[in-house]
Amino acid sequence: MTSTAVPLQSCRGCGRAWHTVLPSCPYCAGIDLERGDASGLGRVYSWVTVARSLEDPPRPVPYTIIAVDLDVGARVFGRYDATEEPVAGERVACCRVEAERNGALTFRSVKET
Amino acid sequence: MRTAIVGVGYTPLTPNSGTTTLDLALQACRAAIADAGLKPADIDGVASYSMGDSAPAQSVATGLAMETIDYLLDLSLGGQAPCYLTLLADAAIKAGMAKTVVIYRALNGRSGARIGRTDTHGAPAPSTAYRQALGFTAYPQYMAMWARRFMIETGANEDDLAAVVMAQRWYSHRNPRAVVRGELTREQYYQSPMVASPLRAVDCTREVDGACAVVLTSLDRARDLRHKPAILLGGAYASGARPGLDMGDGTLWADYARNCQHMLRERLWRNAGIGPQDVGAAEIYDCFSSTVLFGLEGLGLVPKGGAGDFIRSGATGVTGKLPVNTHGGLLCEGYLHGMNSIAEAVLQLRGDAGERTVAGLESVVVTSGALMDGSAMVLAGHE
Repeated sequence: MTSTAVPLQSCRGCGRAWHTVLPSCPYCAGIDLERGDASGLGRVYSWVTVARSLEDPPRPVPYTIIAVDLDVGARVFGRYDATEEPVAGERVACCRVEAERNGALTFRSVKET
Repeated sequence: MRTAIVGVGYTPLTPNSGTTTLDLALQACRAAIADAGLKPADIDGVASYSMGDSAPAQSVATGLAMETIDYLLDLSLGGQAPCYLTLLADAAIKAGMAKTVVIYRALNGRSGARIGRTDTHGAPAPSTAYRQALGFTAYPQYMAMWARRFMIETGANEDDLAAVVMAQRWYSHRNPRAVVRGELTREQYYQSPMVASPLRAVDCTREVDGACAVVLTSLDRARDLRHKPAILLGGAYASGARPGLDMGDGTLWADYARNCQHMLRERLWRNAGIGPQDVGAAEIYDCFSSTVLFGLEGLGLVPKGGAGDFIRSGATGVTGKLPVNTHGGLLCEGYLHGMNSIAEAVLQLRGDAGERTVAGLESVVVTSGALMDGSAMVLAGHE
């Protein structure tokens, strides 16, 4: 099963990883941190389908944002690249990291093997 | 020693106040002080909360021409704050730092900066900048993400959200202050357009311009004043671990099916000296309908997964076992970030809420906040 790697920050002290770049570890407060690529495989934790854009100018709708629990233990938000509603626990893989757009992640559904 | 709320005041709640937040704050504070039977000179403390969208306490102290100023406090918070701020003022009075404190929230929430639209004001935190790239930027979207997980874990569904809105519309239809009036049928609920699934337009609070204030003083002083005091039995503020960098930063938060109300419930009931089975009514922070389900279950008022059935049974109605959001909630009365839910609890304890008055009410639990951090307290007619 292939996925695009997701850049994460992690703590050399406790081994935990997370998505937003922080000056210290939110799990053990350690400051010995590193940045690296992690597997983009995970499962859908929750989602929201935006039916009405509240931005100015409005963004095309509908689109779905999913919260994904990556296999490496970090939770990330990303776009869901499908038109149907996600399912809780659904297997997903990162398929796009847009460096020029703050690293925006997109996930697609993958078949369980 | 205990403290009590002795006065409440409101401005009209409108789409466009045509005036400043300072003017609104002063209108509400003057009304609350007069309602208590006091004069501005009797006030020695002013406290408020805002998200950079309101007049600070010092300006209100100036506008009230206060000569003795012992306590000024501005919290940089939104909906988490009203009970928390009341508890801080209670602590200040008990510590001898202040005698009588007026607490307000004033905002041009409809004609000015709108909380529901976006969180892009100022330099965004890295978490915010990331979400902007995704199009995950607005308060209803964050709440919908939590609501979805709550539904996954508890089996709650859209009918449960409908039940919340329909129950609160009964009250708002009987509340002259409410900006959303008229009862709502289940069919009308489902006709409301989706904003951020599962939340529809009618699941979202209505932003307003306006202000609300309450006056808190020691119970000894309160007994000599105009109204029956609403006695503060106790409360709590809490956040779960890793609340993140901002309101929408849920990537470090473990459990979207439990919010701050679950985190604070043990301390709330212990500090109040009563339990969830004893309380007579609940004003649950409802920026969105889903948060009423979170609040009822989080505080232990209803078993997990049972809130929808509880509401449909009529238990949250005015003659029910636990009347809930008796002003119609923030959903219908208007979004003063929860200050008005405290004021409603006080009016209910006085028996002064018109057709909405809950007969024989002895205590009310009020909550503030529905995400990572928040607060709650119990007010009562007797010690």
